Amino acid sequence: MCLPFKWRLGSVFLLFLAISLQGAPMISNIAPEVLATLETPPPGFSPTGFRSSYKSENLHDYLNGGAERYLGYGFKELVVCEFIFEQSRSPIVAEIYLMNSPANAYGIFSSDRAGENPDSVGLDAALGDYLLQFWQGPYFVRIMDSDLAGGLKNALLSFGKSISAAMPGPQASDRPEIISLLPVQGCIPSSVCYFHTQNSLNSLVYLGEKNLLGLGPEVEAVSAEYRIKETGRIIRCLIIRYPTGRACKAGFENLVRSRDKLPEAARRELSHLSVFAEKLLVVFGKAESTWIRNLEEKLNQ
Amino acid sequence: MSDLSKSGSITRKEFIKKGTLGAVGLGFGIPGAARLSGEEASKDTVGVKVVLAREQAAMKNEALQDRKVLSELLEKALCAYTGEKNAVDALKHFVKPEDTVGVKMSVMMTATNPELVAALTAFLIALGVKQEKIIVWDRDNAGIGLEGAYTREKHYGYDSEAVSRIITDEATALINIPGLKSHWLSGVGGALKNWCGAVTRINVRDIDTPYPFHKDSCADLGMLGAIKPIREKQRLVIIDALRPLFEGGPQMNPAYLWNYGGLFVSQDPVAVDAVCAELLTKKRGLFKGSPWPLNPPAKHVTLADTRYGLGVSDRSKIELIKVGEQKDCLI
Repeated sequence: MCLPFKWRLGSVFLLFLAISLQGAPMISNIAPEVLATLETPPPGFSPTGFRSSYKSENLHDYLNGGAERYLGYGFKELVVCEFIFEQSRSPIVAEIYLMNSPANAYGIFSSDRAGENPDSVGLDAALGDYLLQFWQGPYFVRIMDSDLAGGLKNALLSFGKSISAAMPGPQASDRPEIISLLPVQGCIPSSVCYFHTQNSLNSLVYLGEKNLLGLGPEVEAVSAEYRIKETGRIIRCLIIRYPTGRACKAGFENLVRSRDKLPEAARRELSHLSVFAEKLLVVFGKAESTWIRNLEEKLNQ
Repeated sequence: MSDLSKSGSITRKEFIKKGTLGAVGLGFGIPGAARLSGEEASKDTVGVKVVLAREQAAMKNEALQDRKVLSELLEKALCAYTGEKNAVDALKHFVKPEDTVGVKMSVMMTATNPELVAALTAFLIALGVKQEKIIVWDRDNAGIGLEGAYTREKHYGYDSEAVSRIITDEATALINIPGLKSHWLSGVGGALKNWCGAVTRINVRDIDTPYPFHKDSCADLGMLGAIKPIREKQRLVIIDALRPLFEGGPQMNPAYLWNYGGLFVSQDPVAVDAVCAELLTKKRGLFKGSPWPLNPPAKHVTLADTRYGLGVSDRSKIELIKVGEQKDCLI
């Protein structure tokens, strides 16, 4: 049976369109003004011409297994550019990650925040000798002295500030609300980590292969470590908020049921479990009963 | 000493019974044994040992670009392992001049130091291996001879079982030389993990892959080392622990690198990974000021021993010989 002429013409047109789109650049969801900070870097930085973009389907090409960390936080897009810091001829790599929400930009930042907080860039930042990381709005940024030449902290910071200036203004309300449930006293600030996935949990405290707690994109979790003043010991507090009370109860019951089969360290350290509507509290390490009671009162509100 | 009865018979039976590796032949690796064939094998059989060589000179950042320093360190490690007086004679325990040697480095994130690879390649050339028969590679990017330490633009492709043709068609001997790192999916990235860069069609979700090792914190990574030509041809493992990563990985935060200045040498990939996992765990605890285990734990190291018979993971059965700088050795 022969197709009508206009159908055949339409098919040929679509074929040409498909062929032409294969060579077309990826359409970016990163705001043009933010991308512009990479096209026109601050004085003292020259682009080398290396630039690459990634979306969720090919992030593994850049990060290998490390891509899973970002995918667990609603990753949408990455743009990577390389520059030379002219003063020292050192290569600098700038990465701008667009996540699907400010909460998830905070989350990926919180999963590794070694360094001092310079306060002057992003909503939160971590500046080490060779790497600046910060988050602002739905963006997470890494700027690295890729040769580890050293002595470039100020340069990294100035570049970071120029990128930050192009982003939506930092709002404290962009931090996920769940972290406000954490007790403040004794908290080790750099240990606070917001996450959703089993892989993220296992990188903090290893509970094994099975997703006993029913973690996933719709579940919010926060982990923090606390130093007990009297003993100097460290305990870990997990607060998990589920979409429904039923899901929370299932997570609780799974963990109780599986307690004896947990990896040895987790089994030994697991000291407290309680449920408050859709919120689950898990504590590893011996915490004072008053501390637990105060936290439970807060979760019960 | 290694338990040869365990690795030579029982583990092989389990191997056949499980049939987990349809694409994998039945390798017969004996932990600790030399990989040279015939008479040389029995003459050169050694216990399960791992050498750690460190020098102050290798702990400085500048040393990482100094081939002389790294050559000397590598020679020290090889000589300590074999009892020979120079690196060339040491390497003769593992490689013959007529070999085609595949040098499997790691290039992505916490890469093997290129000057270290160049030092190894120079020793191989001095031994009599022709430059054009030294293939330095990671993934499908290879370079030849000394130049391969720095530039890799040749592509050999993969065979029907998704294994690099460098392994299946070219090399008669393999030297496994990864950079040491922690890894957020597998706990540690060392000798066993380095073979990820020797196969293709793998993905984190283990979808449509001949090598589904990612689940349970990459527990079955040993399946790669058990691939027959890898198992049979791997002669030596050299772990670049000059500046290892002790947290995170593969994406690197330099805050978690430290200038350890070390090289590990062994014929047993499991033993050397077990020792490296211990090193990273100790460093983490020191850094944090409290116990900080690898999360996830490096399960694949134990299972490479018990499930795949690739070597010895029991630390009490591994002899660690330390030469050179002892300060802050941690293990």
